[in-house]
Amino acid sequence: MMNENSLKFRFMAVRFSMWDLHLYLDTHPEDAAAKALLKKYEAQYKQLLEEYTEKYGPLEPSAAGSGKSWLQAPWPWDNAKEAC
Amino acid sequence: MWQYQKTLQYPINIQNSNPLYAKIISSQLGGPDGELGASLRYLNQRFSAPYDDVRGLLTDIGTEELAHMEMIGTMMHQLTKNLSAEQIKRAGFEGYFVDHTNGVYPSSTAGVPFTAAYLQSKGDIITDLHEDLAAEQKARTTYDNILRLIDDPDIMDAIRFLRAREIVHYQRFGEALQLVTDRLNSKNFYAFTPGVDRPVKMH
Repeated sequence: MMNENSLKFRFMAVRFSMWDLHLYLDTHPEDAAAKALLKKYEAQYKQLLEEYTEKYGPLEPSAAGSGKSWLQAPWPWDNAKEAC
Repeated sequence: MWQYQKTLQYPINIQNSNPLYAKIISSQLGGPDGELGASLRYLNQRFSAPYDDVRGLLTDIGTEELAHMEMIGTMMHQLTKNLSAEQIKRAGFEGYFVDHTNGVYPSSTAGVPFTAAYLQSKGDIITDLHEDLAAEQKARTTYDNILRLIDDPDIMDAIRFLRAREIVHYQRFGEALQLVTDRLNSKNFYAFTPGVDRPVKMH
């Protein structure tokens, strides 16, 4: 069972792996191995985003999250409440 | 169009305030080789970029630089919380404090406000990509200089991440330059300017 920070860091790590692969594919658009890896991370990303949002609040704008829970979810520049 | 995600690109959680360190890292927000200039450079250059892959790369790296700007702003914010007058004067932070309190303002460590004169958008893809390669190396050197002056692992960890990204971006821009020149006359890359003198067929 992951706490809020470790779940968020896992999400951030997967998102970063996807982003770096996306940049790589800008200059290597035919690389099938990179595309397959990106697809693998994308599945994890969706699952982690859903799990985090359900437990701790929205990370991106959505019909369910907009308004109070969007505003109350931690802002990125605030210090984390708990140690990781 | 952009959509905001409510997390940093890389986690930052600085425990101890330190106005001197805030001033030292502030150049990477609004200094000559900072993240604001980087994002404006790429996001403006992309409009005249003549090839799909270069347009994609400038859009994506320009977008990532916005996230880096947010990381430097976060570090400045966390380093300037709950400052005493004594701390401010001892760190030589009074010049910044008088004008901005602890607000995050884009200027260099020496206090020079951000200016668009730090960047160029030349409308020539070979020229622009050379500017971008140089910009990534200048930012990398700035992060190396910052790492020489800072002794707080909470800051150094995030600065090392940002430094590594400069190297990755330099690599990608180098590949883009190779892709561009491969499409030109190898005997004279400057025989014509793609997108200006001749329309370019997108793939």
